[in-house]
This record gives sequence, C-alpha cells and structure tokens, in this order.
Amino acid sequence: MPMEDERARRRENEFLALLRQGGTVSSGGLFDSGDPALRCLLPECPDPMHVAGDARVAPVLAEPLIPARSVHPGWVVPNLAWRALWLAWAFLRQVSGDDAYERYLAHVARVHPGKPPMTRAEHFAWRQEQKWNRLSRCC
Amino acid sequence: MKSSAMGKLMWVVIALIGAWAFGSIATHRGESINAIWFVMAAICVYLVAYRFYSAWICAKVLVLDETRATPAERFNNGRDFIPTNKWVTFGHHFAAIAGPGPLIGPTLAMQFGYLPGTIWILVGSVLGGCVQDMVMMFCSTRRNGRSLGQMARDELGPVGGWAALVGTMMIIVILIAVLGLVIVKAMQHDPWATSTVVATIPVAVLIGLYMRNIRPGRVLEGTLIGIALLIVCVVGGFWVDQTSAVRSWFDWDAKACAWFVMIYGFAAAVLPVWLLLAPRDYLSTFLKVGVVVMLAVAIVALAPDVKMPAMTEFASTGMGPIFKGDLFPFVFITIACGAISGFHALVSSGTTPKLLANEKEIRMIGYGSMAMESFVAIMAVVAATVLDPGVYFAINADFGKTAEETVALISSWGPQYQVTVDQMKTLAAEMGLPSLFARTGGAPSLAVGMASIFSATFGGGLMKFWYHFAIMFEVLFILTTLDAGTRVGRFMLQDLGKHFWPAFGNVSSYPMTVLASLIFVAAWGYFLWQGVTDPKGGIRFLWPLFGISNQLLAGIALTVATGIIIKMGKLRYAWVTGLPLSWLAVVCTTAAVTKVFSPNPEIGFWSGANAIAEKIASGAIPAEKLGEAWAQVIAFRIDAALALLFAILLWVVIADMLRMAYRFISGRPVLPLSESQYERTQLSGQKLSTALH
Repeated sequence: MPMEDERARRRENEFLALLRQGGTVSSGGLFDSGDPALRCLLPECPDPMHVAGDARVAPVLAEPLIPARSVHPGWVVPNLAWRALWLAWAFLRQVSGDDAYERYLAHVARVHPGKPPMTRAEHFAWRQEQKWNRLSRCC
Repeated sequence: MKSSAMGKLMWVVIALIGAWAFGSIATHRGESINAIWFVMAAICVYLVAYRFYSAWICAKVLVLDETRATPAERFNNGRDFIPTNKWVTFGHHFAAIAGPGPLIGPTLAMQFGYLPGTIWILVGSVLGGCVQDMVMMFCSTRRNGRSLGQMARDELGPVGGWAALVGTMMIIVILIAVLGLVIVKAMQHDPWATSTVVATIPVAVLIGLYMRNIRPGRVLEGTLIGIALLIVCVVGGFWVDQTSAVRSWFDWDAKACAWFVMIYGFAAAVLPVWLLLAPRDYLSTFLKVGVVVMLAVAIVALAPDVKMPAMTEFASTGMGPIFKGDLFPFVFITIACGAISGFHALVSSGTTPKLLANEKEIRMIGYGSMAMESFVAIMAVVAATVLDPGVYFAINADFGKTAEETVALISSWGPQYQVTVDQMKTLAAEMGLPSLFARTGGAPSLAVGMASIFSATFGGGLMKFWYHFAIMFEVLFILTTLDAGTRVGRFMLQDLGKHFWPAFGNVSSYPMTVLASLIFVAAWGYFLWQGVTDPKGGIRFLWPLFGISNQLLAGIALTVATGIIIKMGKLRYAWVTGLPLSWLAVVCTTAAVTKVFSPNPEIGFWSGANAIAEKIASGAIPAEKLGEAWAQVIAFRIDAALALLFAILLWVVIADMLRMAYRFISGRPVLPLSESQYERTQLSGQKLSTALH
C-alpha cells in the first residue's frame, strides 16, 4: 500500500507540474486506480466540466462476441464476416467521434455513479472546443 | 509465421519483388512505363522497412517497454489523455498528418523527371520521415506527452527551445501563404471552381449547426449529408459556369481570390470553431481519405502508363520552367511532406502520445502512418506523370508568353515534349475551363491527372465534373490546414506576445483574439500577396521557401531526438536519427545559401532583388509599375533574410546539441534526461507478451 501512495503522489506532482507549464495541457483530473469508484486527486480541480478518469481497462474497438445473425430467412451471415463488418462500423464510429457521447455516458456511469452527466449537446461542444485548441492538422 | 521457414521465404520474395520493381523503374529508358511498377516498388519497400528496420529501432534503440504505463493511462482525464484503441489512434494520427503537402510537392518536382522524386520519396520516408515521426512519438510518450518545443527546452536548453518555437511559427506562416497561393491559382478565372468553393462555406456552416443544434453529436450523419451537399455544389458550379449572368460574379482574378482566402482565414480564426472550422474538417477528412482510397483503387485497376521521362535535362541544367535550381538540393526541398516533414513532429509529440494505450503501438502508429502518407505521395507522382510531359509543363509553368509561343518553346525541347495549342484547347474544354495554360501551383495539373484516371476507371464523359470534384477536394482540405494553422498560429503568437505585453496573452479576451488573428493573417497574407503579384506565378520562390522551413523543423526534431538518444547512453545508435539529420542539414544549408546568394537572379533572392532594382534605376520599368517593382525588391530581400535565418536557426540547434553531446560523452554535467519514472501498466485486458514484473 505505501508503494501505491508513493506512486499516486508522484503522479500528482507530475501532473501539477504539467498544469503549471501551461501549453497544450488542458486542466484535468488525476486519479487513483486502487479504488473502483475513482476519485480526482487534484485538490481543487479548476475545470467546471471536470470528469474523473476511467477505470484502467485496455481500450477495445468493439465487444468481441457477436453471434452469427440471420439477416434474412435462410441467409445467415457467417460469424467472421459479420464480425468484420461490425468492427469496421465500430471503427468508423469511433474514429469520427460519432459514439463519443455513448462512451462518455458509460464512463460516467462506471466512474461517477452519482454525478449528472453532460447533455449530448454540451458534451459535443466541450469535445470540439478542446480538439481545436491545439495543433491537430499538418501540411 | 514468426521465424518459420515459410515466413522467411515470404520476406525474401517480397524483398525480391521490391528490388525488381525498383530496378525496373530506375533502369527503364523507353517511351513510357506502367504505373503498377511504382505501386509495387513502394509497397515492397514499406513492408520490408517496416518489418525489419522499424522493428530493429524499436527493439535496440528505443527499447519500447510494453509493461510501462503510458501518459494516457496514468493521466486519463477523459479529455486529452485517453487510452484509445490503436486502430482508432492510427486513424486520428493519419488524418492529422496527411495534408495537401504530399500531393503538391511531388507534382512540382516532376519537372526533373519521375526518378529523382520517386527515389527520394521512398528512401527519404523509410530512413528519415518515418523514423522521425516514430522517435518523436517515443520521446514525447516517455515525457508525459510533451510537445517538441517543451522537449527541446528540457533536453537541450533554452536556446533549442526558442529555436523550435520560432521555427514552428515561421513554418506555419510560410506554409499557409504557399497553400493559399495554390488555392488562388486553382480558382482564378475558373468560375466553376470559385463558385463551388464559395458554396462549401454555407454547407460547412449548415453542417456545423446541424451537429450542434439540430442533431447534436451525430457526426457521421452530419458528414454524410455534408458530402452529398458538396457534390451538389460541384454540379451547381457547372450551372454557374453555363449561366452568363451569374458566371461573371465568380470570374475572379488572382488578387480577388487572394482577398477571399485572407478574409476566409481570418473569419475561421475568430468565429467559434463549431460554426466553420470543425464541420469543414469533418467534411475534408472524409473526402481526403475517400479520394485517396479511390485513387489507389483506380491506379491499380487502370494501370496507366507514366509518360514523363525518368530524368529531364532540367535535372542538370538547373533551368527548370516550374522552379529554377539544380536537382541537388531542390528536389529534396520541393518534396518535403511525403519523404520527411518537420510538421509531423508537432503532431507526433504532444497530440498523439496522449492517446496511446501501450508503448508498443508507437511502431505501427508512428512509422506505419508515415509510410502510408509516403504512399499518397507516390500516387501523386503517378497522377502527375500520366499526363503528356508537354501538357504537364504547359499547365505548370508560367513563361509569360502567348499560347503559340509557349507550345513552340516546350515542343522545341525534344520529341517527348510535343504539345500543340489545339491539344491544350481540347483538354481545357474537356475539363470545362477557358484555358489550361500557366495554371501553376500543382493543383490544376494534379486535378487533370486525377480526372483522367477517375473518368477512365469510374465513368467516362464526365471529365469536367471529375476535374472540378478534384479541385474542390484539394481546395477543401487546403482550407482546413489554412484555418487550423491560423488558429494555432494565433495561440502561439499570443503565447509569445505575453512576455512583452501580458494582456495580449489572454486567449479568452475577444479583442485580443481579433488582434492576434489580424496580425497572424497579415503575416501570411503578406507572403501570399507577394506570390500573387509575382509576374511568374509566385510558386517558384514560395514553395522552396516552404520546403526549407519544413526541413528546418524536421532538422530541429531530429536534433532533439539525437540528443535524447545520446543521453540515453546509446551513442553507437545515434546514427539512426543522426544520418537523416546530417542529410537534411546539408540539403537545407545548400538550398538556403543557393536561394540567398546565387548570382542567377532567377534563383537567388538577393541577386533577384538587385536585378529589379537595376531595372528601376535604368528606367526600364514604367512609372505605374514602379510601386509594385519596389514592393518586389523589398519582398525578395525579406525572403533572403528569412532563408538565411532558417539555416542559422538549424545550425544553432545542432551546435547546441553537439555541445551537450560533448559534455555528456566527456563526463561533464548536462541537463538530466527528462523521462518520467517507470510505472507498471495496470490496464487489464492487454495482451502482454512478456511477464509483468
């Protein structure tokens, strides 16, 4: 346990140093991973829209188990083809940001069960604002 | 497949096919050569380099550690630090780095023939560009996702930090100016293109409102509607072109187009992002990826013949009609993006590292997406060289002569360059244009090439629609670079200015936003105007200036990377970034010195300025043109100072790194490695190949 404390303290210091530097780092939270209900470690979080970090789960493109579907009587799409299509669709939605709000809701439900989430419109505006306040396009 | 006999055999076969294709391109000396050879050589080179060289760098030099927690995992804030699926990160990264550069640069460089450009794109990317992107991404990931400027300051000291900051800002100014000029040249006296481009603005605003207010956050839906509307715009442009009453409203000259571009850039920088900038980006990103995929499919399906000679005589005479100067160093300056682009270092550091879920993904995302960008440049080579060489030069070069004189001049170069006025007229009519002569900038000739490939593959007879679709596609994503760049430049200017005037740095103050945007637009607007008023088309000196600035930034990034590798105690591997750095230093310095001091007024800025000044003194310039001539003298002198500044900046940073390296090797104290401490990854569900400690 002291090991965990030391890590959390170090991470907090590093993050505060990042915030002090300003630059492209937007304000945000710092999270302890030991507790399932994560808490923000930043003493006074300056961000009104602040959302705490996610539980530590490796990101997946889509849920892995998709059953074979019959899309038409007598025509069953094989599992593999269906899964490829499903993955392509999941990729398209995720890379374009189409499913960002669903991901955000799931994240709030998991991490902050009591907290009222932003509306879809608020969330979209918030995401867009932060995307364009840094360099995101090249020559 | 790993290390099995079959696997080894497969790689031997791939390497042999690549070598064969490459050899065929290099030794071919005939009428024409099939474009499939280019595609095959490129793909094999990328595969072999990715499988072996990038793997070796990751294992031996960078020592990627998959058990190490990334900044995205440690600082996950659901905002900019978010662990993201690697394919999605790849998509974001590729969309961010792929811009108009790899399409325009190779098109212009084809004046030397297809061979020099192709070799540089392939070799430069696998040994230079991909390595730079990957190593920068690694350095930033190990440093909490810091940007290039911050890393230069942390690792080399304040000198390196300032040089990186100034270099970044200058490159954005020159980049926007030259891209603006490309748009101007594509739109001038083409009411169809102009009206289409103008119509894309209300479409973007409409989609912005749709995504924000009507159906909030439905990005795919909004984008699909937008793309459909854009196609309607292209068709609508045809109607405008056919209706004489409306046609004249959009028949703008270069100066009017330049004003349009400047006003647009300013508006996009001061309006809220959701209204214009962000929705335009959705549209242009989808269009960009879609068109690139279409082009790849079409080239493979059609297998067109490349008609440009392998080498033209301009490679040795240095008197190329598109821009003057010898093959060395100018082919390496002209093709910046597609081989190695310093701009990528800005996205590879600071932006993408905050999304990485695991360090081992750096190889695919850093190295792989640059290889893909390089492939886009190879396709641009094909699209530019499928045209008859005579047609290519008639479109891209501005001789300031009549059509008859131009074709006579080009045809006199040799049997391969035959072109007639009738041929150009027919082609222009097919493309729905009044004339194709002297449409410099690269975009129109690329669009002609793409239109001929697309209409042959997907449907003939619609050539003019394909041409204007291609122009709309190019302009759309150039405008995206332009407005995003203006916005970032404004932030950087405010960041810089707050040291002198604190109130100026307040990014949430609207008057300051307007003021900073105005200053920044004026800065690139000056160079754009200079290009527009140049009697020979402007591209000839603005594009080399852009290339030098881009290579300068790449040089700074590679210097920082080399310094870090040395400080990691891996001096014997420092050549991995040191080799491309040395090459860039030589190329950049030679180019800058040539551009400044060449006695040929067509090449050197200084002698160019003097030549005009002499003309003014001798009274050869009529009184009403005197103001413009003086402006050009001053402009050339500013360009000279700028090119010199770029070269000096690069050498200052290199000297700073060498000083640091010397101190480190001789055991003296240096700034410590600013790497964050090791922390074990706790992401569950990751497939780790080695046991966690």
